[in-house]
Amino acid sequence: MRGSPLLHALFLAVALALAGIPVWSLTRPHSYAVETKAEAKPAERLAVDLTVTSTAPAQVVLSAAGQMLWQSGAAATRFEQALDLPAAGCELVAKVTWSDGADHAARFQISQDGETLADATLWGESETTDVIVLPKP
Amino acid sequence: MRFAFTFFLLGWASLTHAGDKLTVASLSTVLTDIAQNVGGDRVEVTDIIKPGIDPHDFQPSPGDIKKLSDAQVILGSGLGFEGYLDKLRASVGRGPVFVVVGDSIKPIMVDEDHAGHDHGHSNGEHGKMADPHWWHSIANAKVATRVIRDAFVAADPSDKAVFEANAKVYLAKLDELAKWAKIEIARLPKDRRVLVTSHDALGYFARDYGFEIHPVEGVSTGDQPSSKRIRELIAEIKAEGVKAIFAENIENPKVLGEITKETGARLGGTLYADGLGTTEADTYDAMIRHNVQSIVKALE
Repeated sequence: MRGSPLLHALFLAVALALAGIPVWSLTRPHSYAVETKAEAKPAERLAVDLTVTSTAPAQVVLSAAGQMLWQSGAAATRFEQALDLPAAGCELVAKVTWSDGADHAARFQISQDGETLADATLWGESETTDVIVLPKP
Repeated sequence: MRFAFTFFLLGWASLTHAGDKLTVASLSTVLTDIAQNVGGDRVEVTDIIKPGIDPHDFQPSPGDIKKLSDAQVILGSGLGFEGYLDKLRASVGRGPVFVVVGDSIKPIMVDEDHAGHDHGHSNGEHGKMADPHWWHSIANAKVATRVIRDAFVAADPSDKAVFEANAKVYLAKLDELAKWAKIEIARLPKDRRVLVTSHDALGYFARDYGFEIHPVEGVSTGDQPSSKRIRELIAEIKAEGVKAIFAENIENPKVLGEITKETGARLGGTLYADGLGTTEADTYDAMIRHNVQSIVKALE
């Protein structure tokens, strides 16, 4: 074994370092190049018209995705309201309350530029809650 | 004297009839509950599969086969859920009537390579098989109620009025449950309806309520996820921004624990996928309410 021991040590260090590259590459924590939804652009909205007609004066509360969207205030037999909803479609939870305790019905019509997107009638005694599905137009 | 004798005969007949309950053996905890609701006190239901037991691993013992042979009606889920069903038919003989609810359900077809080897029902369509977990759709539970009602009426026509009245009450209860579930799930925006579960058992729930499913395992709990599948799943969870993932009552959540560490998603609770539990989900109604509440609470 000829040559400088210093040179041998240097060669050994370089060889170990080169051998370590694939080991490091295999064992390092992997990071996945994924785009999370948090980085996605804001969802598009859809302006719609809501008309509620009821067989007796009623109070109406409308919510979507756990957030209150609109409430009618004083009881009436007809309401008209403009709403701003997700364009991808959503499920509206409608709660109707009648004060007289009898059987009644309330009709919900949701339209955009005269085209009906949803038309649902809720029946109940004193109070009813149901889901109105608004499909993607 | 003649009047007393007639009175005695009528009383004896009535007593005999009262004790003569329809005997039913059930291979599913969900069907046991539905059968008890439809049959009321006119049936005696033996639960061969007990709550909390993994039906994927179940094989009937000689004692179970004796109990099944003694029953007038045997209830099974079908769609391949009970891989032993054909052998069981041969073992119990011609006495009991087999009622396989899955035969009346329109199944969801899933990829066969995404499922267990001995599980699910191939329909001949290449690479596809039926998802047997039909009870996660309340509409299917209503079908099961009608199937069981009709089977009970056929087996014991003398109690037809009782079975029909009980079934009507239970169907109304299921309608109420379906409405409740719909209102609860409406609290979740559509982009949050992503479920990561231990195995692929919630396909019918996902179809009914617009969820996307990312299962760790296939349709059977016996399927083991590969490291490649786990890597893919971690990438999917990160890409979808999933907030929570769910364990099952009869599963070891160790793999899910690893995934939560990698993704930052939290464990959203325990779901009842393959049948009823012993406490919080001891009826079909309670199981659905528990699963829906757990999902909504974890993802909203």
